[in-house]
Amino acid sequence: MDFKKAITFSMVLAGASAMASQIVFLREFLVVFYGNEISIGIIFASWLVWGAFGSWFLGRFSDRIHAKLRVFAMCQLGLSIIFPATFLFIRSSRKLMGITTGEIIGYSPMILLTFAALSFSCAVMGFMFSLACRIYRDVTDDPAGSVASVYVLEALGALSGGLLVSYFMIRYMSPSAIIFLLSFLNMSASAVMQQHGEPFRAKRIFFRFTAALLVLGTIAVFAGGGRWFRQFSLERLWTGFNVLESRNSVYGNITVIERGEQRSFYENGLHLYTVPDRLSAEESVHFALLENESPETVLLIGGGVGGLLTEILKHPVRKIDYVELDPMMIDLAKEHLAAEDAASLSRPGVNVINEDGRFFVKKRTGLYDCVIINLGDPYTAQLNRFYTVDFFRELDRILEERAVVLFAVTSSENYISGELRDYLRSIYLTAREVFPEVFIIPGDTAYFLISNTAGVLTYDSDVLMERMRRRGVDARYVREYYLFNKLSNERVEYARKTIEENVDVEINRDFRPVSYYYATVFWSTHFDTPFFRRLLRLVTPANIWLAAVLFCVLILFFCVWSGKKRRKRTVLLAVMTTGFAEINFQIAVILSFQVIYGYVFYKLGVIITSFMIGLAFGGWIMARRMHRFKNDMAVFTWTQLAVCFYPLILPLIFLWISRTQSNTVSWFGANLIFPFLPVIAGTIGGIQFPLANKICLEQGPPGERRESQAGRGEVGRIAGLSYGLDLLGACAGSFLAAAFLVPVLGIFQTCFLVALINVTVLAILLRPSGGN
Amino acid sequence: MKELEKFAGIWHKELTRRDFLRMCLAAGMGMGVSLYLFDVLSRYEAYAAIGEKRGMREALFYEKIGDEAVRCLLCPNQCTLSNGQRGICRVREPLKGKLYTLVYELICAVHIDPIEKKPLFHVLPGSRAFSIATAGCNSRCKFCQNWTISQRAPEETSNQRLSCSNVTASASSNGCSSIAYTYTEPAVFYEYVLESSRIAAGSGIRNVIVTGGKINPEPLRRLCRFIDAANVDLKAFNDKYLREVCAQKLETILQTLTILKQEGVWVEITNLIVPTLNDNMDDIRRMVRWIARNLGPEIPLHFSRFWPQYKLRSLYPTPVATLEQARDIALEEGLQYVYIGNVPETRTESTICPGCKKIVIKRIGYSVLENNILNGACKFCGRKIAGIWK
Repeated sequence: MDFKKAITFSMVLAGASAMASQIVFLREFLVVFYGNEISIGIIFASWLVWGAFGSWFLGRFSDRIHAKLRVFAMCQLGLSIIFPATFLFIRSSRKLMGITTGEIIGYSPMILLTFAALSFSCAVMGFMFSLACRIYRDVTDDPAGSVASVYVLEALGALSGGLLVSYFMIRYMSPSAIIFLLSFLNMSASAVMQQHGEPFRAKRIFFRFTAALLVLGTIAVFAGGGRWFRQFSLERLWTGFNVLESRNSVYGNITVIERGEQRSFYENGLHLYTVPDRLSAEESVHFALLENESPETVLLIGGGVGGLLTEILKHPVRKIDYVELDPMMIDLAKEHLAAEDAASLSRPGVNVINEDGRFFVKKRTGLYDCVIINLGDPYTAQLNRFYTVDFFRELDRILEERAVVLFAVTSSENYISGELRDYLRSIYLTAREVFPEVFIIPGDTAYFLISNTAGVLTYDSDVLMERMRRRGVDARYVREYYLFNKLSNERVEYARKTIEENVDVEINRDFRPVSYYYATVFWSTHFDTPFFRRLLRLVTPANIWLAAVLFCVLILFFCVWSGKKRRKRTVLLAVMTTGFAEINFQIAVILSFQVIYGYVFYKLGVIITSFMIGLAFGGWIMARRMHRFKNDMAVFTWTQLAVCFYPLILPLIFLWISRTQSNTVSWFGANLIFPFLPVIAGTIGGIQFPLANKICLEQGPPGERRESQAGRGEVGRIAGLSYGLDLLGACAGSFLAAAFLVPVLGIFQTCFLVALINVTVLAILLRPSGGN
Repeated sequence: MKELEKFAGIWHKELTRRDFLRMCLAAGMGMGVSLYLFDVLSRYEAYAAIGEKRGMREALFYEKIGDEAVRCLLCPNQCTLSNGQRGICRVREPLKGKLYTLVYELICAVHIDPIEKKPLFHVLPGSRAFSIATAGCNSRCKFCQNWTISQRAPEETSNQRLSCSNVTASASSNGCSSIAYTYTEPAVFYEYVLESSRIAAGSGIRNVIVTGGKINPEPLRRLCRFIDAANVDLKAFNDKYLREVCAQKLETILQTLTILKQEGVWVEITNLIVPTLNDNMDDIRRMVRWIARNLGPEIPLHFSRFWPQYKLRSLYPTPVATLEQARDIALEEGLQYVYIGNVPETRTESTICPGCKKIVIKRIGYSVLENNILNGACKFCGRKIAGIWK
C-alpha cells in the first residue's frame, strides 16, 4: 500500500475506531450501571476529557518526535490491545468494585470507574489526532490544511464506523466480536504503517512481531478464544446472576436471568420484570380495569410479557393492543417463558405492535376505554415523553368516554420525602392539566389512576371487589384482604395531602422534561453522602442563569486581560464554546425529534450521521478555500455569528413542526428538515475548526505572516490544543446539557443560554482592536 | 529509553518557572474551593448546638468522657462523640458534655396498620396497631423499605410533635388496641418509646416494637418492662452477610432475642430471604435449629419475600419456591408456627394447632377469616396456643 493511501486509511480507521469503540463501551457501561442513563453524560465527559488530555497535553510533544510514523504505528498497535483490555475491564467492574448483587451504583464509583476505564483508549486516540496532523503536515507542507484534512478524514471515519456498528454490526455480531474486529483492523494498519515508518534497528523484528501477533491472534479468536472471551466477560459482568441469554438489538441489550422457576428480564442492565411476579402484574392491570365499569378495548404500552397480558385476559375485554418497541423482547419472551405465559401473546384479540408507544398514540385513530402504561419511572429523557402534558393531550384524543388510564412510578409506602414529593407532584400536576380526575394509590409503587370523566374513579374496595366477582376474575393480591389497607382512608389521605401540598413544582413538558430531573434528584437520594443531594438542590433555573452570566463575565475578563495573545486566545475560546454549542444542538435536535415523532431508530441514526456529514463537509470547504482569504479574522467572526444565530432559530423550527396540523409539514419535518438541521450545525463547526487552527498558527508579531515557519514547529501543538478545547467544550456540553440544562431549563432556554455564551465571544471578536 | 529521556527533557524545558507557579496556584485554588464546597455540603449541622429545641431531651444510657466528650451506651455501636458530632444512628448528639436524643416526641411517620402487617400473627389477631416512627436507624440495610426516614437525620425529614400521652390518646381514639414502634428502629428513639410505652401500659393499650435487634442488654431489659410483644428481624444466620449488607452483628441479635425471651416479651421472628445473598439453605437450617433450641419451638417464624427496594433495586424478587423450601426446613426442625409473608395463601399464612392440626386462625393477606381460639387454646382439642390473645 502506498504511503498516502496508508495514512488516509489510518486516519479514517482512527475516526471509525473512536466512534465504534465508544458505542460498544457505552452500551456495556449502561449494563454495568444497571441501566442508569445519568451515566451516559459521565461516559461522554470521560471520553472527551481524556481525548482532550491526549490531544492537548500529549500532543505538545508530537512536534518534537522524530520518528512520527513509528510512534503512530505503535499507537495503533497499542490500541489493538487496549480495546479488548478496556472491554474486559468494563465488564469486570461490578466484580472489581465488590458491589452486592443487584446493588445500584452511586455517582462517585460511577465517575471513578468511567474515568479509569476510558483513560488509555481515549488519551491515545486524542494523541493520535495531533500526531496525525503533524504527519500530514510533513506530507502536504500545509499546516492549517493538514489539520483540516485530518479533521475531515476522522469525521468521515467516525460517521461510517458509527453507522455500521449501531445499525448493522450490533445485530449480527456480539460486542466482543466487534471489539476484536477493531483490534484486527488497527493491528493490520499498524503493520502497514510500520513498513512506511522511519528505519531503526529493531524495525524488522518489530514488524514481524506485529504480523505474528496478528496472525496468531486471529487464529486464536476464531479457534474458540473469541467465544471463551465472550463467555468469560459475560460471567464477570453478571457476577452473582445466572444468565440464560444475553442478546443485542439496535435498541439495546436484553439479558434473561434465571433463578429456579423464575425468569427475570433486564434491559440495558435495568430490571424490567420477573415472571412469575403476580403482585406487580395484578396491581398494574386490575386497578386499571376494575376502575372502569366495562372495559372492552385496552391499550397496553410495554411490559405485556411480564404477565400483564395474562391478567388483562381475565377480564371480558374484546381487544388488547400491546405496543412493545423492541421485537426482540417478544422473541426472548417466547423462548424463555413458560408456555402458558407466552401463550397470552397469541390469544385472540391480542395484537402485538412493534412500534414506539408515543408515535403509536400520536397517529392512532381508534379509541380505548382503558390504557395501561407499563414503562417504569421517567429515568431517561426517552421515557419522560410518556409523562408530559403534551403526551397526555395526545392520549386524551384516543380515549372513550369514562376511560381509565394507569401508570406506575416508584414511591414509598410509609413516608414521602421532599424529593419524592416533588417528583410525584410534578407528574400529578401534569396529569391534572389535561384530565379532570387523578387518583393515586399509595404504596412502595404509586399507581396513578386517571380518568377523562369526573366521577368514574373510586377508592371504594367494595365496589372494585363487586366488579371483580361479577366478571369472574381470579386474583391473589388485588383482593379485599390487602385492599382494605392499601386503599384505607388514612393512607390515601396521607398521600393526597403530601402531593397536594402547595409547593412550587414544574409541569412536565416535552421540551422541558422536569419530571426526568426530579426523578434523577430522587434517585440521588438513595445514596448516603448528602453532597450530591444538596448539590442538585442548588441547581435551579435562576442559579443556572447566574452561573452562565458569571461564566460570560469570566470569558470577557480572560480575553481582555490577555493583551498580546488576545487574538489567539479568543479564537481558541471560540472553538471551545462552539464545541459546547454543537453538542447542545445535537441533543436538542435528537430530543425534539424523539418527542415529535417518537423513537424511530433509523431516523435517529440519520440525524447523527448528518451531523458528521456536516462536520466533514464544513471542514472540506474550509480546507479548499482557506488560503484565499484576505482577512481570516473577519471570516472567523462570521462563523461565530452563525454559531450565535443558529440556536435562536432552532427553537422556532421545533415549535413550528411540533404544532403543525398539516401532514405535509409533518412529513417534510421528519424526512428533510430534521435530518438536514444537523448538517447545518455540523457545517458551522466544521468550518470554524480548521480556520481557528490557521489563525493560531499564524500568530507572531502583529501584521507579519510567518505561516510556513510557524507550521514546522507548531502544528502538532496547536492542533492538539484546539482539538482538546473543542473536546472539552463538547464534554462540558454533553454532561451539563443532558443532566441539568435541558431538564431544568428546557430545550428552548438551553438554546438561549448557548447563544448567550457564544455572543459573548462574538462581542470580543467584534471589538475594534480584536481585528489583528 | 532514549525517547522517554527526550520526553522528560522537553517537559522540563517547556515550562518556565512562572508558568509552573501559576499552574500550582490555579490548581491549589481549584482544589481548595472544591474541597471546601464538598465539606460544607456534606456535613450535618451541629443540630443540638444550634439550639433546635423540638425533639431534644437528655438521653439515657451514656457516660461522660472527659469534659466535652460522651460515649453512648444504647447500642453496640457505642459511639464516642464530642460536641457537634452525630451518632451513627443520626439522632443522638452531645452538647456541653451531655448526650441528647434529637427525636423525643418528634415523629415523622404515623399510620394505622393491621397488626398482621408487622408481622405479628399471635398478638390480638384482627386488631389495629397505631404505628409511629421517628427518623434514624443504627443499621444500614441495603434493602430497607423505610429508607426515606431510617437513613436520614431529623433535620432532613418532615416531623410533627406527638407527646407521649398523646400517643396513647391517639391510639385509643383511632380504635387501636396496640401501639407499634416501627418503620425505622425503635432502639434509636429509645427514650420516647420508654416513656410512651409506660403511659400506654397504664391505660391497657399494648406496646409492640418492630426492631432489628441492635441494642445493648441493659437498655433492652429496662424497656421490656412495658413492651408486650416484639417482632425481631433476624436477617440472616451469616455474619458476612449481616456485616456487608446490613452493618449488623449476629451475636447482638441473638443476644437480644434471648433477653426478650427471658423478660417474658412475646417474640416473633422475621427472616427476609434475599435471592443469591442469604438464601443458603444450610444457613437457614442452622438458624432454625438455634431458634428451636434457644427460644423454643413455639416462636413464630415469618419467612418474607424480598422485592426490589432501595439500594438493591436491580435484584429480582425471591422465588416463592425458595420460601416454601425454607418453611419446610423450619417445620422439619420442629418449629410449630412457620409462615410465609407477602405471599397470600391460606396454607402458609394460617395458624395450625400443633395438636390436632386443624386451622385455629384462618388467615390470608392481612385478614383474619376465622378465629378458633378460645381462652388462649385451640377450640377443637384444647391445646394451648402460644400468643397474646386478649
